[in-house]
Amino acid sequence: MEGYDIESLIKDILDARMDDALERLNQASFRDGYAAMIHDFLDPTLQRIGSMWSIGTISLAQGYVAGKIAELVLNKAIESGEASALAEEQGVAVLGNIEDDFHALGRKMVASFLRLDGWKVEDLGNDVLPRAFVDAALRLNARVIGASAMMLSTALNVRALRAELDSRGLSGSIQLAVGGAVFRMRPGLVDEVGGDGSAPSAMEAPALFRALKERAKP
Amino acid sequence: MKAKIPLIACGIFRQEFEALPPDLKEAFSPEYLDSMLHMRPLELDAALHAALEKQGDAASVLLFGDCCPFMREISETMGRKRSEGINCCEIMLGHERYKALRREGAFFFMPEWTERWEEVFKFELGFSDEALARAFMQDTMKKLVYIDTGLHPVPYATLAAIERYFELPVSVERAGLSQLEKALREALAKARP
Repeated sequence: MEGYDIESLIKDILDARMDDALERLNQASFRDGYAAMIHDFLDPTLQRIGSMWSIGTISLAQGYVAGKIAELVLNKAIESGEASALAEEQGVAVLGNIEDDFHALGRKMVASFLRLDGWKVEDLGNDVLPRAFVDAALRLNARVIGASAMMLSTALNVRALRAELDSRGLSGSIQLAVGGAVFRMRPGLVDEVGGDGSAPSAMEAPALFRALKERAKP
Repeated sequence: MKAKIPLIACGIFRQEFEALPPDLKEAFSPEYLDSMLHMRPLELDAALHAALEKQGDAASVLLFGDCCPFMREISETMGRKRSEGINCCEIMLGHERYKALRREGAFFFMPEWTERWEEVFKFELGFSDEALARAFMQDTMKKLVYIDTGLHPVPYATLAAIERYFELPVSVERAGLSQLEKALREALAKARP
């Protein structure tokens, strides 16, 4: 298999040339199939972009382009009938912005990257109450809930979700991933609100969710 | 006469603060920070620390939302109080109205940021490509709301340009200054019981 030009793909994304980036990925998938393209080309590219995002060297627009590309590639893989070959099925993840939080972009990016990684995502949207998170997780047999918050005052509302899990005896069997800008800037906040883990960027969320799934008690 | 309380305020409120009733306005000695610091939260943290350091142990009020990661530590020590509200839009609209509009998918434009909208979106956020900006905004928002504080003529031409750029409808929400006044009076009462 010919090597992939990851540097050029990164440049396309950082220059917001979405069409060029997609064309590059299309050519690779035509040649090698979606599974190889995603595993050996798109994933390593997104990991690099994720590292840039977590140290704040790329703009919101550049992060958005990366998320959009993941979403579009996944849709094309589904259309091609190759989606089942992309990644091992990971089960269900329940996502939402915590109560009073309306910053949807990060959550939507996480949803795209998780789907690309084989997760079935139940996206509950913005301003989600603790009970709604837990009810959805139980209904869908999800092992991981992902709660997003952008600012400290809304991140603190995650404590009520942890309390809901505790009061229903579900802590441990349902793991709680937390994320959003404030968690990156205040690493101690994950423990403070009762999170089981966090990832420094949306691109790195799939690894976190896999680790949490493994940790979840049956 | 009571001593004035230092007020460290986001520049987005400058004109609105100056238009508040004299008894409230004159209770404070204001210092404004550039509202564009909102885009760089760690720099805002540092700027707030620097501004407050000048006040020493004096009770102070911060007229800010929860706009930087360490706002809690900055605003809850040594007699410092922050105005209630998650951001400037909630401070101007009040919690209920803000939340109702957010649930309707609103993105807000304060008067000062309306004037600087190209600087915010094209340069600070990187959305200089119109199609990309449009896709981004339409992915997460359903409408754009201009918060009319009653101090400036509504900038209809600018709002029309914003509407064209994002291809989302713009409406005008007449907020006035009552919620800002309430938030500041409450913060003042806590800082100077």
